[in-house]
Amino acid sequence: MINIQFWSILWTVVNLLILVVAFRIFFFKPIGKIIAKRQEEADEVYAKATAKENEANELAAQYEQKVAEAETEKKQIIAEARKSADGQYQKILDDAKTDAKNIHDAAVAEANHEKSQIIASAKKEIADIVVDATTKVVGSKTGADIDSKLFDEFLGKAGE
Amino acid sequence: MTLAEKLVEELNCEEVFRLHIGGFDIPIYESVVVTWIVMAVLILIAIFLTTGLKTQNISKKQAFAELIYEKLNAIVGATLGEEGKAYTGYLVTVLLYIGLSNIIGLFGFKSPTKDVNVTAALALMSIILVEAAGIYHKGIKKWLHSFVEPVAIVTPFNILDVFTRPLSLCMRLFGNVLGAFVIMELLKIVVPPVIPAVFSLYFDLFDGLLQAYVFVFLTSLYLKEAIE
Repeated sequence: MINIQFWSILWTVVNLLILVVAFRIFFFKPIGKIIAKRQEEADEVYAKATAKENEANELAAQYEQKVAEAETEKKQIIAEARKSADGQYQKILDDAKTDAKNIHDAAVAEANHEKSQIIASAKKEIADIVVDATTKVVGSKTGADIDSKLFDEFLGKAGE
Repeated sequence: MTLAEKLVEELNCEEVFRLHIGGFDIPIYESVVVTWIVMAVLILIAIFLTTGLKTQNISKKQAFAELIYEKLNAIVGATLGEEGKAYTGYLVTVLLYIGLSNIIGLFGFKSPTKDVNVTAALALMSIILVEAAGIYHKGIKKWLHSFVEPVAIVTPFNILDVFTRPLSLCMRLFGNVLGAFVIMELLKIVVPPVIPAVFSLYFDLFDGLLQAYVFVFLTSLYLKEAIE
């Protein structure tokens, strides 16, 4: 149809305007909205994931720091323990040494004491024996005290 | 009935009925009725595609709807650019309307675009949109000044453009649809059985969609020029 008809043109314009509005309502708006919404959701998920990652990194760093701290502490404790053990060892050793010395000294002193006792008793016995023998030999009891004195003197001089 | 008579009959757009609104006696032609059918089909498809939209675990239907949405916006947006985003909705709708109108002949209807009044209305709306967008984006002063650009001597041609552009849009679409229709009718008479089907792929389907694209492409080109 080539003749121009005003009403057809008007109708077409009206129809087209209605179609444009209908398409805006039924096609562009809902799909645009749903795509925007999905974008929003995706952004949200992404932001959340990023936050989680940061958190995890932070936690990892914290743990690492804690482990390092524990390591230092462990070393410190071991060093301290070693130090105190060394001290204890030294002390025990020193104590043992002192004890040993004391015991040794005591033993030496006792031995010396016993030795001198033995010597003294031996001296006395010898003197008695000599006196007895002399008494027997001399036969007189009276002269025995004198002789014993003399002998003591003699022995004392000889022992010096 | 001779071939010429048959063609003329096919080309004629019959008056289907008359509306009496107030003092007006409004005739309704075939092209308007088919336009209503096209609108109904498009709107029903749109409603069908956009029911039960979700953001996750989307259905195949929704994936298809989003694909169409993205592709159509991309096709129109490519020429329109960022500033003209507001006009994509209108242009996509026009693209779908002309596209379906051009190929609806395959389903036994008379294409509305075979009526020069329909293409004239489309072209009229395009040029009104272009000039209105120009005024809106530039302001009246700059819009008027754009007629003397790039040099004052082209002013008459620029003014002429306002009329030749819609005229060319209108006639290009109408002529292509009409031409394709005439060629198809002739082919059907000359080599009846199989061959017209093959040509129909080109003249009815491809050319129909191509002309819809060309119309929208040129409109968006004018729009971009007007709002820059």
